[in-house]
Amino acid sequence: MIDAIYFDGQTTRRHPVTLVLHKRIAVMRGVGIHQSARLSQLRISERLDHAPRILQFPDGGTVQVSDRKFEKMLAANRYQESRVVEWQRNWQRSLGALVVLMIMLIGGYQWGLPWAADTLAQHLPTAVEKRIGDEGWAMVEKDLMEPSRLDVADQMRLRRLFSDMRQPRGEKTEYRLEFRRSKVGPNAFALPNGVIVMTDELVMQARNDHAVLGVLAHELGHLQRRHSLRRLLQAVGVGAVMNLWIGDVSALLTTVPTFLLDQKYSRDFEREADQYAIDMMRINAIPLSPMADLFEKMRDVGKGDAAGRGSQDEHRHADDKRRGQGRGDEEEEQEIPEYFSSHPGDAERIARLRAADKR
Amino acid sequence: MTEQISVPVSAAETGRAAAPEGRLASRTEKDAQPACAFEFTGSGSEYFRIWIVNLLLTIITFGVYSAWAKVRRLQYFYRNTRLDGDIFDYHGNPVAILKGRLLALVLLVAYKIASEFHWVFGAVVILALMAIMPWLLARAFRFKLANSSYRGLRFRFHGTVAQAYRMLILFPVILAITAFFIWSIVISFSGQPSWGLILVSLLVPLVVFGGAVPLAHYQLKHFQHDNAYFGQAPFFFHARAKEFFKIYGKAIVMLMLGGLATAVFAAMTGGLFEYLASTRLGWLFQLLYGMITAYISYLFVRPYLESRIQNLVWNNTELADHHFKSTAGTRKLLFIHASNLALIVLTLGLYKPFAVVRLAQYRVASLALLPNGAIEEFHADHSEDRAGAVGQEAGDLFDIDIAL
Repeated sequence: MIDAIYFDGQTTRRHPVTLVLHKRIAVMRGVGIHQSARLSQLRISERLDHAPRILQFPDGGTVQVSDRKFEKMLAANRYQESRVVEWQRNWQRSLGALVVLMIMLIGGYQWGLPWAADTLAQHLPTAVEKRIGDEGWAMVEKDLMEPSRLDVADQMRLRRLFSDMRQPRGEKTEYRLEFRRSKVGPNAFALPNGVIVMTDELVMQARNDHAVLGVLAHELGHLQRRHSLRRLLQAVGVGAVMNLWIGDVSALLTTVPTFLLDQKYSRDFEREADQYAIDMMRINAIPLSPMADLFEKMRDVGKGDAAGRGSQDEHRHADDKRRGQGRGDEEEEQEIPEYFSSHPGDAERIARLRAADKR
Repeated sequence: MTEQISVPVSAAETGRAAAPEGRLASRTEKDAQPACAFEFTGSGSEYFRIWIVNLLLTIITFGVYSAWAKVRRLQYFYRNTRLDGDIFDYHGNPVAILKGRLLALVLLVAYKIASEFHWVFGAVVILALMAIMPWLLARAFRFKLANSSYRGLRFRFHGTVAQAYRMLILFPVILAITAFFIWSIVISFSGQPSWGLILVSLLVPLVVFGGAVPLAHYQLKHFQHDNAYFGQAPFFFHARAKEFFKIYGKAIVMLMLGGLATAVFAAMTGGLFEYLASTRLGWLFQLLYGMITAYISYLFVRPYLESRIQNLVWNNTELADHHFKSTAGTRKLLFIHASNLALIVLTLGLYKPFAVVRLAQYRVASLALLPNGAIEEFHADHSEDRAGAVGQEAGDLFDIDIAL
């Protein structure tokens, strides 16, 4: 028998009562109060370390039990606490949950989320990508681009050369090649609606059709593998988990880790697009060293360039080559750790292109 | 059954009948009656385990468990809050919460997709959300209070949706008008805008927000507190809008002084800043510098606003003839927020449950009830709360958590 407080649900008056739990029946007695109920009829609040349990009787009255002996009475009457509560009350198993959570988060980040985004992207209608891309292209074209001043003959030649190239696995990826004069330096990017933008500046810089074709193949790789949409989906996933983790403390606090985690996905996609370009060039028997030369040239130009200039078009789902290049020299000197960058280090990319040529 | 119920009721009747004399007798004692402090008994280490299990189950079930997680979390905080030896309780139904969350998710996805297509779509969704915000808030308050209890008695919220619109639509409307005004100015920026125009487009929203935010906050608290009931006993709210303006005004002055201090600091360390900005990691440094500066001023102003508003609101709230006394201190809150933040960053977020408990502990402990007579004299309200069937899911739609 233990002491408890009864509230009748009509007033806040405290009624001191005694409570007995026997043969799975709870009996409560006090001045003018005598109630009994089967254990199964009671709603018993979950066990907490520093708070009393509350028992709700079928008629709406509640009993507040602070006496710890009640736990023994419950156990003796085969009361089954919720499994989740038992888990939460056990340090070892809670820490086990932490370990499992960590493994899941790391595995999910490394493999799960990219896989899920890839699968989902394949099932989403292309209309979604098209609308996103059209919108982005309208903005980029208005703010950052001017009509191309390249010789029309050059444009025609590049178009024909590229359309004659076979795609690595015989794919028929749809694309639309646009030449534009850039207000933000040499660059090339792909938009999810299938537009590949090649800037005059990059063509001039390259002075070599093979290099331009290599860059176009890289951009086609982004399109073929639907990188824009996948990155968008992956960013949603990372954001959701980050928000769950510390979002309720401060939204600002989530920005830095979210940014860093997203950059790794960006680098992965760049590597994938590079590999696509390598495959495509090799199957068409076009050398890759001109592309490597172009990267080197742009890296050297980037040395004299202000590093911050490229950041303005970061938000468009465009693949901003120049920015990656602009920082390339820094990466080579091992000053900027790779995690901050949206592209792999130039040294790595150039070496990979040259190595592919030697094979 | 009827007999069982009638026994306590008659006991209550006699208790009530006896009350008048008892009260007269205790009038003289009343003044000496000690304040009943609220007390928080939860511990970080216990909540940590609840939090981690909640998180794991939420992720494993792709968010479905989050509704149950919310109920467990709120139960932990309610049941560890004590007043006069007795605890509060939370009765929210996880299934209702889950439905609300699913609806919110659908809306969020719709918004994301809409704004990816064209910003106009996004803006339309935002406007629509603003338009239903008062309705949502009224539902959320209702859900929250109807599911809270103390000593076996439920709280109630009787604010109507019409009232909500009258009191809460002001802010979104002002916001929309300002946004439209700024938008039209920005649109008219052709080529070289004059400095005057830029200044106007920066100052107008500042002035409008300076006026609208304190007023909206006042209206919100008024709506929230003046329509609350504990059983049959009504809460009264009699703070004035003027006092909200005072607090916000001081906060703005603090922000400006903070800006001044930052400027002085920047001037003094200009050389160092330039050197750091010119290094290889300069862009990152500049980014961090901006963010940290913004965050520090926010860190200082936030505890000020929090503590002053909490004190203002509760010192001007009455429950029947009982008063409240809130004594939250800015410096103490600042210390808690700053150390919490530092520890959360250092532990990559693992300190969060401890931080939340620490904050709750202080905020709950800074509140006290000044009872006028016994706090046993509250009676249940038996009128059916229509929040039940229709409103529950909607009430939790955007999971609007309004702090104590």
